[in-house]
Amino acid sequence: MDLNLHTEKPRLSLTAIVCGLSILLLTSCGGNKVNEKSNKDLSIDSSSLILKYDNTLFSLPSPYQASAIIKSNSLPYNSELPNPASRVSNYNSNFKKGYNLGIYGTDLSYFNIYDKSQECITYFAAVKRLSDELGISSYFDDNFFKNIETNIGNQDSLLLLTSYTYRNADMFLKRDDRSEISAMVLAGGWVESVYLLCQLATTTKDREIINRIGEQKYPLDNLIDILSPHYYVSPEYSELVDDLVDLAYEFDGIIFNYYYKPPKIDPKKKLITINSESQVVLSESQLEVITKKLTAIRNKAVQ
Amino acid sequence: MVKKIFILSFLFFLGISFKAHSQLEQLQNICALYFPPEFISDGQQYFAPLKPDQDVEFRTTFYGDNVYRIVACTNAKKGELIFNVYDTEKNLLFTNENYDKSPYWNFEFKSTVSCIIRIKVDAKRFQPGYVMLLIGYQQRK
Repeated sequence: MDLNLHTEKPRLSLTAIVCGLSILLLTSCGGNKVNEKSNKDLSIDSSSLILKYDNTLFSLPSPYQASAIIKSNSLPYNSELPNPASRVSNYNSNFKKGYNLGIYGTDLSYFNIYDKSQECITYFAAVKRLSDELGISSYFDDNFFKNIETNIGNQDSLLLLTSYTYRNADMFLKRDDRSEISAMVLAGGWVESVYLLCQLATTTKDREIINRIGEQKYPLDNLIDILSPHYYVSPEYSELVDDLVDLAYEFDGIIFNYYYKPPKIDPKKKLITINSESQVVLSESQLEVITKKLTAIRNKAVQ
Repeated sequence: MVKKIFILSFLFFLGISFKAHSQLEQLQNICALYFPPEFISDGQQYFAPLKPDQDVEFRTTFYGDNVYRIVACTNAKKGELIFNVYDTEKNLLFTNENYDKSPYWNFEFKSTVSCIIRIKVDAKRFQPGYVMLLIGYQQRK
């Protein structure tokens, strides 16, 4: 009997190990297993290496486009708006590192449109430091910095380089099943770009900028959907999602009208013109509350 | 014995994982062919594995007075990728099905529109693989 017990135990352990590894293998290599949480609709599909909600992926408009709007409206440069690069050493958790990696990316594009070369170099160094600490520095190697040096003063190339680098970092993080960090980079990019718009809207009352803020209703919903599966990763994640949900209530009060109009297509140019029209109605008091809440979220992020 | 099986399983796992990574890198290179430098990436790379009889859906917002390029590609063998773009009222704005299933298309938005991009692979039998989507906007001159 004893002998049987001794021979059975290792067999069970072996089976358990092989089964365990097989499950791990299937979930990480495109199998169909979906990790079900208490809410069946809200799940993280580890096989896809990406956040999913009923097989839906959520994306945000480019944070660099905020800078393009600022540029096209000839708004004055304000050196106090971006998060100082000197704070980089304050960020100790992966949450804060990812968050501020996104924030610095938006700040970089802000400096870039005003041709602030020295600031661009300083912020690229801060970006490199955070990416080193997050283990994604392979996209910020010596060649990357050589490219930066070569392209200083060339706004288009620097913007292209920044967006390309962030895209690769995004892929790297998602592919390595670190979606919670990639979500934070996205959150940082969005929070900082809307923060810049809010600060500028408050001082200039520029209608295009105010409309652009009002148009963040759906992107904010998408950001919440991206972050929600990570709600329980740490109290920092829960607090951020709660703050964003609270902000979303303010956006719910914005009137957003949409009128469908048939598009026009030019097959030769592979171009379709979407003629549908949208209209945002955002009052000054709504802008004030949104600015206040968003500034609080942003200031918490950069502390 | 346990150690040996563990090492073998670990190596097998690493091998498969490496294959998935190289598949994605290969797919990234294919997609990049349709993404010229005049389009600035939104800084995100969207990819998902194909599953039988399932579409992949992407939700995003496009700003007014901007031109965007959407690139959608797959590494599924013998499969052609179809992408449809809808507004939030489910009006079909575009399908590449009418244009030789082109892997990319440019979109000029007069106003800001939130869209749903639905992707599926047209194949007689299910083909395993990934789909990838890139979105970029054209810089205002």
